[in-house]
Amino acid sequence: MRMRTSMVSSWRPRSFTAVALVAALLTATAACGGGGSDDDASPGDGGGEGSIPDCPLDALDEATGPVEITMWHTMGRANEEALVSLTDAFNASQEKVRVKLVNNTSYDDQQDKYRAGLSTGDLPDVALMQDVYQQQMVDTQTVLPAQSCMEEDTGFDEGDFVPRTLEYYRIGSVQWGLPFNVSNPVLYYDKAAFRQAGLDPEAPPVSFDDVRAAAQAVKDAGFPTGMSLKVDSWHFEQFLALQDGELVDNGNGREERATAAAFDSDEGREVFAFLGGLVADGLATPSPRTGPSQFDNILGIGSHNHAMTIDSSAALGTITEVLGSGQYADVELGVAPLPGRTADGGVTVGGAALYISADEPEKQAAAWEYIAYLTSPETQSKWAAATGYIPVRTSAVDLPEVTARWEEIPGFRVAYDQLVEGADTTATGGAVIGDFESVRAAIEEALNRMYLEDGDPAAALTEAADAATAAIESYNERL
Amino acid sequence: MRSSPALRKALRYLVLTVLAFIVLFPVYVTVVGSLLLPEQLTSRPPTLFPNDPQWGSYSEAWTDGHFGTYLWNSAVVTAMITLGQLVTSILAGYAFAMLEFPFKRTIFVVFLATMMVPFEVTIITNLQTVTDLHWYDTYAGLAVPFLATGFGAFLLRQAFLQIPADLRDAATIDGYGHLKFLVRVAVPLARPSIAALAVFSFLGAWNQYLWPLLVTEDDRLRTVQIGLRQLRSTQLDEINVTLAGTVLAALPLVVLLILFQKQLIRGLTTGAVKG
Repeated sequence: MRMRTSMVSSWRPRSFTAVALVAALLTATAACGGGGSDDDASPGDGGGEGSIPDCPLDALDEATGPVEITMWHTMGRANEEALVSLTDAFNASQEKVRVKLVNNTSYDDQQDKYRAGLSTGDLPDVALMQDVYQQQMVDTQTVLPAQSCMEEDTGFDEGDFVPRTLEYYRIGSVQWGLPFNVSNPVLYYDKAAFRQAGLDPEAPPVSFDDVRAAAQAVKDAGFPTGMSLKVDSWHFEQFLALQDGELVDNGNGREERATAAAFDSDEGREVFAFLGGLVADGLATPSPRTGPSQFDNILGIGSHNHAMTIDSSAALGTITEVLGSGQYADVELGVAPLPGRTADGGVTVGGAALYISADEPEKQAAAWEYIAYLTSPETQSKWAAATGYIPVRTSAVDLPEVTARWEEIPGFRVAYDQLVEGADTTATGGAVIGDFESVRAAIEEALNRMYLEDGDPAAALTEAADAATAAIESYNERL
Repeated sequence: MRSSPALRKALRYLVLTVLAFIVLFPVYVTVVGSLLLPEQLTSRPPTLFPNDPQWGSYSEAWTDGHFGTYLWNSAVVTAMITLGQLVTSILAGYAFAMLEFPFKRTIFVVFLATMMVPFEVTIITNLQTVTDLHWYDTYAGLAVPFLATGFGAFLLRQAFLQIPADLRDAATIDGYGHLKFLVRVAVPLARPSIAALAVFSFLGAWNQYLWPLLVTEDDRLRTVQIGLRQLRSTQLDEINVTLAGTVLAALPLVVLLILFQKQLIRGLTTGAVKG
């Protein structure tokens, strides 16, 4: 919830705004040729080919006086406080760079603002953009790839990053953004309810069959249902990656620009059959992703409506506080890896990445300085401890802030562990899609049809894939 | 079977009470929620009365959420837009109703046509204009694009058309020029419509979100709707502060509606009966 919900608040086609701005984006990029810094790159291939521009790291040394840069972000209150204090510390620690933070309230609205800024040049120097907007950021031709600066910066330790966090923001051989806030979905369950149902509270379900069996046992123990499932495309994508299934073609859009949906596959059908089966057999009830009932899946554990649900790892801090507030004294929260992982699969990352949008050399260099600071082990350790996000640096895990936080709430560790476990493939790297919102809308429509109208899982999946392919083609045609 | 008038009246009031309850309940829950502790907000059964109101959420919205600044900015921008729209609409509406000039019909149709163009379509061009004028991050950038409205000109033209020609003739004999007639006679007569327009302008300006987000990045110039979204939290443990912000942001509108209720209804029905 803490970040997932804010980042997905509204990607259903939003009438005029979305349409008009997409139209504007396309005219603007066509008209001004980007005006950015990487005219050498050829984004027509999807962003992975061609030579990339240089990163002028020296420009910062040559600059007279501090270089002021602006960073756009959308962190909600508590997380914003953490970001502000980290940024204040950065500003105070050196003389060369001054960062000004701008809060644009939500990932989607910030994306609108960015698109509108393409035509006027009102763009930030650093932008923290939601995961799904990667292809669009590349297509704006305003981004200096992080890759350029990574190659230039001798002190940069690429090997210390959790591999999959980097992989998500890499297309072909080009690292476009650097991950900053990362989360993934985990299984939340009530250990007390498990005991009541005769299940081992320390052995949470691992496979799809385990989930079914556990849900059945919970229901048999007198609960109205076993589990609550959010109607959330992100969860489907994660289950798919656990099966090593790709969402779109061309190596999940990483080898070349995606041209069609690829999830109408054996893996996709297995996930849909699993989810649909749970609901059809009364072992799970669907719950909305947004709106006033978006916490029902969590609160339902407290009110003994069910004993399991899936939600973002970043929600754990909030869940712990709410369940620990005293009124749910009989709930004993357990956190487990997302069930259903096969040998070649794994979870993908969710969250947002830092992009360099500056176009003057000294600002580009300053932006990199700041980004390198934000993704350093020390910063990541403090950030993860304050927010509940997963640290993107492996060495951050041994630093005192994270160690203390994980000791206090061991569940936080689960999301990190499942991100380093499993295989690193194009499937677990996550999909790169220009119009990701429409693909997700298609998947959620199919989930709804399957859950609420007793639709056939395979048929619903095929329809979703067709709609997703149409959306992908439409985006590609407009480029 | 005949029902007594008293019974019918009672029934009518009963229905109205039920409807009012349905409409007001969410508002009530918002206000109550802003006065509860976070854990009371998620309790089952829900807490419907704050026995021990917690006003801390309001001070948190005011200080941490910078609502003082945001409310002030919204007030300034809303005042500019409302006043601007009133002045331009009164002048344009009067011209279309009372004056004769070449291409009057055509120009009027063009005015009306602007009502058909959704604001979103003009966003990018407006943004370019504002940026070219170096109005990014200024009150001017926030207000100037909205100082004139086709709807206002149309609404007031209809109101001015209802002024009898005799009145105009009498005023002319008394030596009133157009400006004097407008100020002394036409505007007072069209007061219900003008009040209605003022309320609509105020509502629209106050509730603006996307435009202010696009033309500002300095927190010192941002408006309350942006502040509310910044405050909006998807974290269960902070919803009371979000609700407090909602109440603060809605308060000016509620006060306005109560003050102008009569004019608003009269203004709307005036237009409806005679077009």
